[in-house]
Formats: sequence, structure tokens, C-alpha cells
Amino acid sequence: MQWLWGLRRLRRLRRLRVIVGTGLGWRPETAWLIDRRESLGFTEVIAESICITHVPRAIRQLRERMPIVPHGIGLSLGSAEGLSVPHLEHLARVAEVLDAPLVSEHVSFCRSGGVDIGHLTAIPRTHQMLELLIANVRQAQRVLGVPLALENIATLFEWPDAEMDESELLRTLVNETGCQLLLDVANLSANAINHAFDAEHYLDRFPLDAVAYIHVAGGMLRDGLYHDTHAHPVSESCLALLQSVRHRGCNAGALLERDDRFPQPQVLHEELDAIDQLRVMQASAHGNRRSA
Amino acid sequence: MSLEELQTQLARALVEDGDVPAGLDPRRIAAARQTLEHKKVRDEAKQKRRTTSDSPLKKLIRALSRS
Repeated sequence: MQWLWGLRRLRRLRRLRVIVGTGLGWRPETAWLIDRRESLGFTEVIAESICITHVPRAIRQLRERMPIVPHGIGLSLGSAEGLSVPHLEHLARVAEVLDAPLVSEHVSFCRSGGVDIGHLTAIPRTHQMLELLIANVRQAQRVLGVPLALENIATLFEWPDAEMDESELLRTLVNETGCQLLLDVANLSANAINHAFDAEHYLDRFPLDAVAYIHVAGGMLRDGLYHDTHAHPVSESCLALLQSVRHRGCNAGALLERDDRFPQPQVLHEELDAIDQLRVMQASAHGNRRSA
Repeated sequence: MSLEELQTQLARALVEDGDVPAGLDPRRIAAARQTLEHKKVRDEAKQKRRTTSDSPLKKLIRALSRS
């Protein structure tokens, strides 16, 4: 069985795509900054906002300059009722049109029984759910022409009777499907507050070698719960987690998400600078270790 | 109750103020419902801003850039 495990891992590694550098999520409000900031390594577009027949010229031009990752928010990979095939096919077409290195989505569900929640929602961490998730991910991989990276979401509540923690669920998902991961350190920071666990312990068990890229974002504390708003400044705890990920040797690209309450340009530049600095520090530390 | 039924019940609890599935914290679900409502209002306002704040010239440029 050991050789079979090794073969699976080898196959997975051969397909790995790692995005590098610092990125900023493309929104109409951030397009100007992405155009002007030459040091940006990549960007991300919300896949559901792209009309295949009318891709904005700004995005088409950007495709020549940097990798663009289609980021899905509505595939609902965690739906027990299965996937929407048209939605999945749309994701595949967007990836093709943008010549994307990979597609990212979430470990969550957002619709069931004809009810569209309109938001990424927690799934139960049970073996039954994991089996369904694996089946859905495999179905998605068969249709998408590029690798799939899955993101940990921020949650305000958890299902009862969890049979595993999230790191274990994600590790099994990676091993069973060969998918990659999008590690959102802001979501991890939020969940550590909301569900009172140690984020460092989570990272100890997290399969960092499967990370394709990282999300960084801001949020706010309200009534004792941390809300991942993408509309507030990036918190120190979020940057501290990014630093910890870097110290653990993960050099995958990190992308800043901002969806609302867009600040002055200087503020976004400073946040991007802070993210960039952690990447450069890790790279030079790694270089020093190699030359020592 | 099947997993699919539980997910549907939760979706209804979040969107239609239905019963909260057993074992889930009703206060946390209420907080999540409130967040959803905020998000809906925010998204609608953002959409409105994007479609109404443009001058006719901007709209023309956008239409041309799509072609």
C-alpha cells in the first residue's frame, strides 16, 4: 500500500501549480491600482462576475501581464445534493478564456433544496460529508481543464458532532483528490477567535505543501465575533499568521482581498507592501539557510 | 434526517428564518443571518453605485471597451 500512496503523491505533485509574488483581487474599484503597481505578481477575478462573451477589455489586457486566477464563490462544493453542472462548466470556460493557471473555490456550501443562501456556509466535519465533498471535487476536476485549489472559509458557527478538525479534513481531501489549497489566513484568524482555538496548532497540522496561494484580508470584531468583511484594514493577527506561514517555509503567493469601503490608494499600497515584505524576508532567510 | 435535509433546513434558517437544525447555536445562526442581511444591503448598494454613478460618457466608454 505504501508504494500506491507514494505514486498518488507523485502524481499530485506533478500537477501542482504554485502562484508566486504578491497579488490584489481585481474589482472595478481596484483595477486602476493593479494597472499601476508594477510589482504585482498575479490577480484574481470573481468567476461568477465574468461573462464569457464579454470579458472586460481591462481584464483581457491584464491577461498578458500576469496570471489571473478565476475565484469561484457559488459552486457549492459542499452541497450534499451535488453540483450544478452549468455552473461548473462556466468555471471551466472562464479558466479557458483567461488562460488561468488554476481555479479556486471554497470548502463550503451555499445552496440546498432550492434555497440559495448567497453566502459561503460551513459544512459538517463528518466522514459522510467528507465522502460527498471528495465526490464533488472529483467531478469538478473532471470538467475543469486546470488544477483546483480549495479555500478554508470563515465561519460564525459550527455544526455539532465534528469527527475531525479542519486541517485533517483538508489533508484527507488533498490526499484523496490531488486538489490544492488556498490558505486564507484572515479566515483562519477569524475562526481562531470565533471558535476559540489556537491558529498555530491548526497550522502545525495543515498541509502547507499543497498551498497554491494565500488570501489576506481585513475584517471587524462585532459583539464578540470576528466578521471577515473584506471592507476593513488587515489586522495584525492576520499578518502575524502570514508571517508564521512564511517561517514554516511556504513561499506561495499572497493576495489581498478588498471588496468594499475602498480606502485611499496609499492604504492599499501599504497593506500590499507589508505582505510583500514578509515574502521577501522569507525568501532571503531561505537563501541564507541554503548558502550556510 | 439526511445530510441534504439538514443543509436545506440550515439554508432556510439563514434565509427564511426557519427552524435551526438541532445542535447548532441559535445565537450564532442569528448573527450569521444578520451578516447575510448586511451583505445583501451592501451588495445592492454597491451594484447601484456602479450602475448609477457613471456619467453617460463613462457608460459609453464601458460599452465600447466591452465590444
